[in-house]
Amino acid sequence: MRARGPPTLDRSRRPVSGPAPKIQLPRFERLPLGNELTLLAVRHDDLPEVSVRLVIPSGAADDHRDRAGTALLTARALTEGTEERSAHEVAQALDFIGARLNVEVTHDGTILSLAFLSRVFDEAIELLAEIVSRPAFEESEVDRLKDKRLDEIVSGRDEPRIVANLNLAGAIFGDHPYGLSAGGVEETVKTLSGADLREFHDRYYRPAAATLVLVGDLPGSEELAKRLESVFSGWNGDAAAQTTLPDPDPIAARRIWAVDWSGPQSELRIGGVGIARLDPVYPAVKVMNSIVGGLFSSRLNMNLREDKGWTYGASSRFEGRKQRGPFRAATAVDAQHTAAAVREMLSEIESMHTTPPTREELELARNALTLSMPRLFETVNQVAARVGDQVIYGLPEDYWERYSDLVRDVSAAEVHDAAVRYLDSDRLAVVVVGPVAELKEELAELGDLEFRDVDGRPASA
Amino acid sequence: MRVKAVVIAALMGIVVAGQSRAQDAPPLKFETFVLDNGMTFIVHEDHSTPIAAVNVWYDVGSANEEPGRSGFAHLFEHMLFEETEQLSPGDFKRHILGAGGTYNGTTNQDRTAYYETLPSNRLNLAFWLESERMANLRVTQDNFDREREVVKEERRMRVDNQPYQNGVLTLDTLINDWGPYDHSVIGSMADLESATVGDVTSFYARYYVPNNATVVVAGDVTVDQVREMADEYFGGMPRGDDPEPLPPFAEVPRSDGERRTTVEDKFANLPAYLAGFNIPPHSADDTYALELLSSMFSEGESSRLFQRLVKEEAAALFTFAFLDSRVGPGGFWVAAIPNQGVDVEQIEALINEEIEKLQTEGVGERELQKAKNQMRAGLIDNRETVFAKTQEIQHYRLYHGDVAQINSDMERYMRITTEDISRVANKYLVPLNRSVVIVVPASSEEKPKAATS
Repeated sequence: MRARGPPTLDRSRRPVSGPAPKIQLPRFERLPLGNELTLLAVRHDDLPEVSVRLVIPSGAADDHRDRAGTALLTARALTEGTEERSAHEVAQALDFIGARLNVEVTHDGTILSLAFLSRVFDEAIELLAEIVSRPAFEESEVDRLKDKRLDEIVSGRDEPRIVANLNLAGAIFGDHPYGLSAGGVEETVKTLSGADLREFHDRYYRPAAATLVLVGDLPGSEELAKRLESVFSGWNGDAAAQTTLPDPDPIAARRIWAVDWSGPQSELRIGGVGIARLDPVYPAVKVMNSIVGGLFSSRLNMNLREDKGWTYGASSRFEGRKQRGPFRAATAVDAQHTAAAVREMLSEIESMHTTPPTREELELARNALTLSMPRLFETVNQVAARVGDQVIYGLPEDYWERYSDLVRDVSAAEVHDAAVRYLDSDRLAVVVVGPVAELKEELAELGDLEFRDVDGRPASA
Repeated sequence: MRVKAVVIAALMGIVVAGQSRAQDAPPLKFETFVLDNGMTFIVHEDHSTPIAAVNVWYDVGSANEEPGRSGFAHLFEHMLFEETEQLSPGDFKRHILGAGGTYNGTTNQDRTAYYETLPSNRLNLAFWLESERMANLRVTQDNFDREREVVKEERRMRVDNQPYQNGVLTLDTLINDWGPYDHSVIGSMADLESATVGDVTSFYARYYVPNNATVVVAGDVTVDQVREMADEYFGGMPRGDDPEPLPPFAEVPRSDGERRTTVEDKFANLPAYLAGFNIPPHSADDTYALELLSSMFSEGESSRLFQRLVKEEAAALFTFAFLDSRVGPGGFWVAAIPNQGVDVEQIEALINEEIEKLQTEGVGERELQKAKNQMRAGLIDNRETVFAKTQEIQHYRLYHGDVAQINSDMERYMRITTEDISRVANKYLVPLNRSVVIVVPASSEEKPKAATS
């Protein structure tokens, strides 16, 4: 359109790559303190900051079924007052030093993340030890947290994206705990009391089971161990037995869950029972998923966005958990293309059986996964998150050092095997949140059609 | 990335206790050069991780859009990921992803950004792709129509199929109904529908010229390397006409009375109170006090709004305040969603009470110190990745007009006093300078879904 570069530059020549840079992966050493809390430390001192992950290997999977939400509320209640400080005082203390605390509860575990400037190391670590080992679980604060969680559940019903995700979990896992939100549901959250939270805390917040990951600009080694020993020495207790969930059953026959929603877009999900995080087939599944939907250049997105223009994006992922976690493909499409988009998604998933990956697709997927690794270890928070995952899932310490080679070695045949095993189109669940009443016949052709409400309960057509 | 193992072994005999430690982030060093065609490059070397971020800002945003073309700058941004003379559809993403990189683009009122982070040995790939789309964009009716559909789906996903989002867009335009910011970045469906291939061609010629672009590179590269590649890939492009500057903005605070409207929302189950006060351009002195005020007002659980509305009164499910500052005048937003059974009027009264307290009683020294500490921590957050550093450098260039302020800006926050906070509260957080949107849930017949059992 306009005058181009100088005649010396041949724009058709793609620039060639220089030698691939080497990355140094985090190495850590573990040492139990006197109370058996395991410490993992990684020094990373580009910036004067520290990222901490306290990993408790118990989460929603350890909730009593009729008390689902206990693990989440227990973790959230930690900052709502301790034996020494009120909730307001804890908030004041954290905010005053500019520390950011985040709580994450999944089915597999509980992670408290704390990020702060290294100048406030002592204050931050003392606060962390205090909230973890001496929470008050005062009834008025617990009630407020319950109300907040209930409000989240209620307002989630306004968001089609959340409605679709919730229904998909139910459609894939049925009565298995993975079928419920890790934060519990309305009926179970309503029943919770301070006593439930205290009991969960007593049982599972034990130093012998926990791991403290510290990454960043840390005090000298011996000094670090000494300070942590003194801060955490009052926290005691042996590790409790953790709940081992049964492996979820694969879906017996393809089911379609239809939720009536009259908006301009339909939220679509297709999913199934995927793999466990420790499954040796994990690298092959990652490569396979990168071809079907894991990247912006994958088959699902190229079809639904780049070819059809029906959506802002379509993607898929396998989430490896302690047991077999979900495979999920997701998109939101113009409501008028709802049924056609479901058919296109199914056909792209089935294409993984019938159309083997091209050499280019395979190379792109393997390169995208391996060459991107330096970006996964750039910040202290990223390093702490990776190490935290290793702790929760029991990945070997040299896992990331071997990861590139494992991905490099994945062959086209292994990708095909993974697709046959984990993308069996007869054992998939489809969720449609859209104008389903008018699409009844079209959807019924695709599988066993059931109408559901925004909470995933049976509904009338 | 320098990662050294910490050996926490008892046998280690070296004691380093009591040693003074780094207190703040080191100054961010950068070097600037300009090509003959007016294209600016700013380089920051950071050899800690073997990656590099390339971030290209064109100084054009939704404020520059023609009447009847709201959303066009963003739609145009989408076109730059499509086709060029050397790139077929899909090639752009395949090149970046296949090199282990990541990429995206964003558009706001003032600028359009295109960026990628790659292993540092692929800097040349980023330069090739960026120069290709700057010089050789290929637009066809077909790729334009398809991308327009994608943008319409983006609007449906982010706004039209979500609770509260129409209220948010309404407030945004209500605050700014007096100048170049009087329409949303995402634009209206009707305006997106009216855009043509001809609009793309003229927008490209007018704004996507080397003299309206700045490239920031941060990461494991050297200034010499970047200089050489800049010449190779961008040196031969001719300078264009300088784009016309925007008409001047009106003065803030406004004194033309409160603007107020109600938006019916068929997705929301609870009402919402959304308010915005006009504030000066980002580079103004008052911005510093307003940012700290906003932090004390709503940052963290110890903040005033959280303590009063959520904890003490149990009146709000959710509340927030933030500063939407721009090259021109922006807005100070305050919003809350009442708990079930609480009136939106009650929420509004509580928020107004808290604002009055700021105006009459002011804030305490320790409270202000807390906000400053949070600001310091936030500064580090903004410099953790090479990509974040390119954003910071671009921010200081465009919003402050001076990249060097990146290393002196924190001092300006630290100089703010409690008197400054009271002064800006009294100057800007006043009814005559306020816009309000009340979001009301639609009646049950218009609800998008069957009632739950």
